[in-house]
Amino acid sequence: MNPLLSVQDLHVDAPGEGRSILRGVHLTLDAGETVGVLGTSGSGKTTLALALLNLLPPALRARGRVEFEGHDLRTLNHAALCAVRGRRCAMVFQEPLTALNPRQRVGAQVAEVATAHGEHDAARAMRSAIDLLGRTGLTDPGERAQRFPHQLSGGERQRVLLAMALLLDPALLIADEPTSALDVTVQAQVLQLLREQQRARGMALLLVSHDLGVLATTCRRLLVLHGGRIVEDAPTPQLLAAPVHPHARALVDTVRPAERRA
Amino acid sequence: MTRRIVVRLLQAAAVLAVVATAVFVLLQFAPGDPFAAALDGTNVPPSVRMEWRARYGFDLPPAERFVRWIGALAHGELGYAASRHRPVADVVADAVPRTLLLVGVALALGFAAGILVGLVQARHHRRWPDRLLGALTLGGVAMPEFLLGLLAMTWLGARWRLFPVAGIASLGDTATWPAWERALDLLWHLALPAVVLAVGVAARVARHQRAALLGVLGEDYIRTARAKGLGEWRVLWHHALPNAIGPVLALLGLALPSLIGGAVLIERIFGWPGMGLTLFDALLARDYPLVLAAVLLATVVAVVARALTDVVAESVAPRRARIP
Repeated sequence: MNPLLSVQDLHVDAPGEGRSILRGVHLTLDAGETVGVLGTSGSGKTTLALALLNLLPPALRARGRVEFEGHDLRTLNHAALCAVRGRRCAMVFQEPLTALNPRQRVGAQVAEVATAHGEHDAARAMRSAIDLLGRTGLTDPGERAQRFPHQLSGGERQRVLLAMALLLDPALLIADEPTSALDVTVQAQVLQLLREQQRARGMALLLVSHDLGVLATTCRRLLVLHGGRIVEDAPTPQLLAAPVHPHARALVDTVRPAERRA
Repeated sequence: MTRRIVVRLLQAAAVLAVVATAVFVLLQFAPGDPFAAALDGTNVPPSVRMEWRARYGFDLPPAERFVRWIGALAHGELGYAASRHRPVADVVADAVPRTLLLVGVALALGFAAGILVGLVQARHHRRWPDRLLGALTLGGVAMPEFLLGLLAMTWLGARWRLFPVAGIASLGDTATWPAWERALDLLWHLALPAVVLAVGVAARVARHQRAALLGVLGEDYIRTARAKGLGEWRVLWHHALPNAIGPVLALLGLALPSLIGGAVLIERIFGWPGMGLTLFDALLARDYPLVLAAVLLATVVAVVARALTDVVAESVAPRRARIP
C-alpha cells in the first residue's frame, strides 16, 4: 500500500539570506499513523510543516516531492491544492490568537471551511461547526461561536483552531506546536483532546514540537530534525530507550537526566 | 463616548469661529465691494453711491460690520448676494445640493475604484498588474485635476462628443421632460466632472489600500485562511480586507475637504453651478457676503467630516484596544 504522505528530498532555501533551512528531508506517513517531529528551535520544524501544504512565505524556495494521496502537492495547480487544504489535509498552528481573524466571529471562521469547499450551505455549516466546537470541549458552544477571538481564552482559541481543522474529517492533521502557547494544565487538556480525536477519526497525525514529553505521549513514531535533516526515525519506545544520533541522545537526556546517568 | 462627542463639538465650534474671523479680516484687505463695478464709474453721483452702500451697511466701519455679521449669522441670516440679486441663503440652497452630488459621486467612485485597484495590486504583488497599476496610480496622484479636466473635456467632450463639455442640463425645454430622462441627462452631464474628481481620490485610496493589504497579508490568520483551502480572492476579500480597510476609511475625512477644494476648479472648468463655481464668481464680483458664506460652509463640511471620521474609526476598531 502506498503511504498517505511521502516526502522525498525536500529542500527549502532562503535565497535572500543565502542559507538552507531544510536540506533533503525524507519521511513517510501511513494512514492513521501518529508521527512526531522533534526539533530544537531553528531546526526547521515549522518550515517543514508549512512546506508540506505549500504555505511557505514567498521569501522561501522549496524543491523536492511532497506526495499526498497520490498527488505531488508541490506541482499541483492552485485550485487543486486548495481542494486538498482544509479538506484532506488540515493544519493547526502554534499561536491561536494571531492564527484567528480578529474581525470575524469564531463560529463563522470554523463554518467557512465547509462553505468554502462547497460541502454545506451556510446554515448547515454553522450547525456542524457549533456541534464540533461542543465536542472539542467548549462550554456553551452556541454562545462561544458568536464571540470574537479576543473574547476567548487561549485554550478555547486552540479548540476553535482544532475544530476548524477537523470539520471536514481530514485524512492527515498537521499540528505545529499546538500547545506551546498554552499554560501547562490547558496544554494537557488540548493534547488529550488531540489524541481522542485522532483515535476516534482514525486520521494520521503529524505533530511538530520541541517538547519530547508532548510527542512521546501522543505519537507512535518519532523523527528527530536537526540542521535541516531527519537524523533519526524510530518507534517512540525505541528512540527513548536507545537514541542513536548524538543530537537525539542529547534531547532524550534532557528529559530523563537522572535515569540515563544511573 | 458622550464626553468625546462634546469635546469634538466644542473643537468644531472653535475652528468655525477662527475661520469666520480670519476670512472676514482677510476680506477687509481685498479691494472694492459688491457695488464697485456698478457704481464706481465717473458718471454716478456720489450721493447715489453713498445711498446704496448705506442700504447694505457697507459704509460702516469693519468692526461694526463684523459684529452685525456675526449677530445675523447667529440668527441664521447670511445676508444679501448683490451679484445675484437674491438672498445668500437662496443662492446657497440652490448650489449646495449640486456640489454634494458631484463630490458625493466622486467620493463613492474614487473609493470603490481605489479599493478595487488596491486589491488587484495586493493579489498580484510584484507582478506586472501591480507594477502597471502602481505606475498609473502614481500618475493619478501627480496629475493636477484641472489638466485632467481640460484633457477630458477636449477629447471626450469636444473631439469625440461623447459627453457634454459643460453645464448641468441640456439646452432647451428640459423642464417638460419626464423625470427619468431629466435624471439621465443630469448623470450624463455629471459624468466627466465626477470622474475627473474621482481619479485623484482613487489613486490615493489605491496606494493606501495596497500598502494596508500587504501589511495584513503577512499575518498568521491569513496563513490559517490559506490552510483552510480558501482561494486567494476569498482570502483577500474575507480575511485581509476587513482588517485593512480601517486606515483607508480614515482617508474619507481627509479627502472630503481637499475634494471640495478640487471641486472649485472642476466646477469652474465644467460650468457646474455648485458651491465652487458660486464662490469663484462671488470673488470676481466682489460679493463678499456670498464669499463669506461659501467659505464658512466649506469649513463646516470639513470639520463635520473630520469629526465623523474619528467617531467611525473608533467604532470600527474598538477591539484592537481590548486585546490583552
